[in-house]
Amino acid sequence: MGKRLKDLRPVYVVGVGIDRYRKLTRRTFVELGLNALRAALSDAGIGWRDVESVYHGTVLLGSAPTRVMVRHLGGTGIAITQVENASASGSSAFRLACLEVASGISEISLALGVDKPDIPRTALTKTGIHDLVGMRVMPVTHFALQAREYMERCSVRPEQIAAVAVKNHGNGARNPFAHRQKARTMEEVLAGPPISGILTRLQCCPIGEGAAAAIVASEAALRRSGMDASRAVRVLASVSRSERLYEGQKEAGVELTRETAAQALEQAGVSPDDLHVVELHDAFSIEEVLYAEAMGLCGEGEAAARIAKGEFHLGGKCAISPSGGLLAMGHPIGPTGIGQIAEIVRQLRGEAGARQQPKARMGLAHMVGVGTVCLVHILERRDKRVASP
Amino acid sequence: MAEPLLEQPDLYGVDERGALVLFGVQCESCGYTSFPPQYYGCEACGAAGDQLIPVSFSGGGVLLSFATVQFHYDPGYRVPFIVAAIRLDDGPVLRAEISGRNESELSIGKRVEAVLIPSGLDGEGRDLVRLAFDLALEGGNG
Repeated sequence: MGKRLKDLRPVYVVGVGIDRYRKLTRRTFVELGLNALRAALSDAGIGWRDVESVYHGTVLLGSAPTRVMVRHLGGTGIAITQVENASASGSSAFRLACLEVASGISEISLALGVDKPDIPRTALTKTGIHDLVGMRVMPVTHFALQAREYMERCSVRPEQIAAVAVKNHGNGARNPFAHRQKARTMEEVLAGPPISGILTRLQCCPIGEGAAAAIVASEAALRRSGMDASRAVRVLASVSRSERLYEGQKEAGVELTRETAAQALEQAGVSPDDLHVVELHDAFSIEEVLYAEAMGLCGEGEAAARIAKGEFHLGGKCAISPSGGLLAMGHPIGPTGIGQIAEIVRQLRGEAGARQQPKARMGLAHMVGVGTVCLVHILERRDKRVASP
Repeated sequence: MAEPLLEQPDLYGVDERGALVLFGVQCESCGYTSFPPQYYGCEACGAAGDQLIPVSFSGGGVLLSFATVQFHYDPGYRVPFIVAAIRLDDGPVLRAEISGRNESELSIGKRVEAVLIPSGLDGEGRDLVRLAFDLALEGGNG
């Protein structure tokens, strides 16, 4: 039996930074990345020379994008690794940075996500194995099929699924880093052009450009560098898994989320009821419903009713996608998983401004990527007291 | 007139009795069946590809879900069209088009069967057909 993150030395997120997600601009990826990096360094109150390694989650930039970006912070000889794991690239970069600090190899490591929209060059079409539908089933249709099955099985109506988008667009309207910052009514969400099945345009995430950075550090680095320890957020658990074969017609993304989240909660020693904020992979509205149930935030078939009662809204029992989620904050691919970490860190620090979830102490970040892979991280606000070494 | 050519003859064909069948594999080691066919190795137990035996699945199945695609970024796919998740009577779950139906005619649990539908011309101007599914003529619901 291997060790859990919690068995290694404590890891804290000490600085986060985001270059607002937005539609494609003429700005270079270098500019986006440097904006997020400088914001994170400033947030942590440390210099670039203090950072020993960088893990850069990116899918669309192409080979070797990191050094040509970070050299403009001063060439320090920093260790550089690009991480590609589809939509979970940023989450995977964050995990590697955490493991590097937890293991004692580095005191301060940095996870970065930078991407600009481009044609994805997926390996899925190069396996030599073809099915009947090919590109006829894009991700939106993959989830439209799941939505129909869910609605039938749980007696849920399309507008109950659309309520996820109304909630998350409302959260995004309060988030200065969000791609979409406009509150939407149910009528607007349902009226949007239909894309596939019940899913309308506003129930599908925008893919734009952006950058996000998160700096993680050890207890020793916290003390030594004069950082504000009361703003540090502990990473309690980090779990990464991939799809198994599941019985019958069970959906891989849902089952994978169920087992990955369960493992992370077990490692952190907490239950779903302990979570105050959750950022999950709501690329399409139906996903929030499916994953909230799979994580145990409510029972099977109950998510729509919980949303209607406001339990997953800001101020509710557990705020899901307080950032606006992928639906409103956006999904620039590489940065997305790190942007989730940034949001949870701000929430747990009490620095989330107009979208602050009251008394947030514990948060969970979840991403899935095609393949299928899944990453879950659990973060906890650090009490003013310093944890005993 | 020549018989239309199958667009994906590695995935489906007509058996000796004239029935439309889908091609898959069954693992000799663990019994797992899957579609589409592949000989890299068994997804269930990891047995090497030489233990994967070609099998044919009948074209009958049940609708698990369906969705009408209203938008596609590639204009080569003419919208709207319906895709479905189907559990074949022989076990495997797959996704395929539903041909010639409105969504209002479909419901989860209805029986479907494989059909061949026109699929344009190949590079030499010959008619192509591809496999899709339609509601089964007999048997009704379930």
